[in-house]
Amino acid sequence: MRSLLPLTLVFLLGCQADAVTPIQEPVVAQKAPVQVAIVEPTTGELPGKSIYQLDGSWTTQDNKPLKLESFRGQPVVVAMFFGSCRTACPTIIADMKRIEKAASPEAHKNTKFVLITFDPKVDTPDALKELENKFKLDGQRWTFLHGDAGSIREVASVLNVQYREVSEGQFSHTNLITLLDPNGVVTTKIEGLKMPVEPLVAALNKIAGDS
Amino acid sequence: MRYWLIIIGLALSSSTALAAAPERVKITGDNYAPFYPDKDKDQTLVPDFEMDTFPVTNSSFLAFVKTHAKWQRGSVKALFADESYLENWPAADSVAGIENQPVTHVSWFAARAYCSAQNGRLPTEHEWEFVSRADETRVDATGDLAFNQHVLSFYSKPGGGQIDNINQTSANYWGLHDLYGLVWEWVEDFNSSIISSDNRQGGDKQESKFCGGAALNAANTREYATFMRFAFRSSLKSSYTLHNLGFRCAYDLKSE
Repeated sequence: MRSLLPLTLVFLLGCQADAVTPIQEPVVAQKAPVQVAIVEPTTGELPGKSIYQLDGSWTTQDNKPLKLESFRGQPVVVAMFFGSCRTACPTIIADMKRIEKAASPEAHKNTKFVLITFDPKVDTPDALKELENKFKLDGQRWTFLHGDAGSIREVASVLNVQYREVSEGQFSHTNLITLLDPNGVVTTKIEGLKMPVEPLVAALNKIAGDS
Repeated sequence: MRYWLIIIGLALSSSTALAAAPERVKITGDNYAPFYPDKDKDQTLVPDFEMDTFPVTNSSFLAFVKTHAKWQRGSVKALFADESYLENWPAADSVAGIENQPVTHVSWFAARAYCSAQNGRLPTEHEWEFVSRADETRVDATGDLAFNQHVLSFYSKPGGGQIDNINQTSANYWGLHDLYGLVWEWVEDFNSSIISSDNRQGGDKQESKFCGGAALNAANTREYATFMRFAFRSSLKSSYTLHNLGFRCAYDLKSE
């Protein structure tokens, strides 16, 4: 019985942390040092932690096939979402637009914004194209990705996004916006909605300035 | 001399036992009431599938890494497995002495790659939870206090000890061995267990189930054992490799 307790406690803390996220997270994020001083070459073998090693096949809102590795060479701001979600997902796109707007001119020019759907059945490439228009996103900079269930599960796992289909076409999920360096290594992230974007923007500007 | 006879005897008896059980068994699916139900319905349908009779052993996993160099200890990339990957093996190409123990210190990615190489996949959480309700004679023994105590006694065993060989205990209703007692097992959708959701249309009812008070008020020990598994899975990351975490594969039925 004694060994049950630590697990349970961790779990309870998990709930607790969740409840206070809006207060705690920005403080934590600002404390974390921005570790982008060394820019690795963006050719040759990928770093061991690069998510661009995932081999899943994706399709964009313009029906173009794509591997994640094709994002190599520039910073990427990525989040997962589903199109028929009426509350959290528009907010996550709005948060990403705030990042886009706050980025330095250099970062603004080079950064890609990527949205990966949990719901390949409903969010077909054509449906994703409609979202691009609906949210008035610059298709040169914003990419929606449609993939198979296994590829989605993989990318969620390396971004630490948890999700579950709670009823047909409705998903519960973690809200995370993640910054990837030009080699696809997770640099920093924003947890939750309507959080301050400054720490992530600072890291982004640094990467864009260096690369 | 007698020492050698014992070793030969042990080898024979364990190989005989292994030969007696099929490699995989067919599971006839059904509706069941998951711990974490869908928003709109209490029951979820688990379709028919096949599942490995035993957890994957070290010797089977060694055969896999010999032909899949990317998954050898020392070669695997940090994204796919942390630094304790296969660390309990005597060498990167040897499982001497632990051949018939469940492979552990394997990441979710490694487990998936293994199953994929067998034309299989990891079981879904629903599949694993569905078959794990069975005892030796019943599809669903979770209403039985003795069964639940048996499960909880494994979960409360301190970690870190020696892991026994597979196939030392009897099969459950489906013919599956060692779902409890040796190791925890990866499932495909391990990262769906606990949701810090802001999808407020759907999340609240389920979320309240997961926050401490509600979970601890669960009506029976069945809920508690299941809760332990969900909490455990939610603590994992896909690169984690743990001393007591293994896996077995599932297979879609070939369409006729």
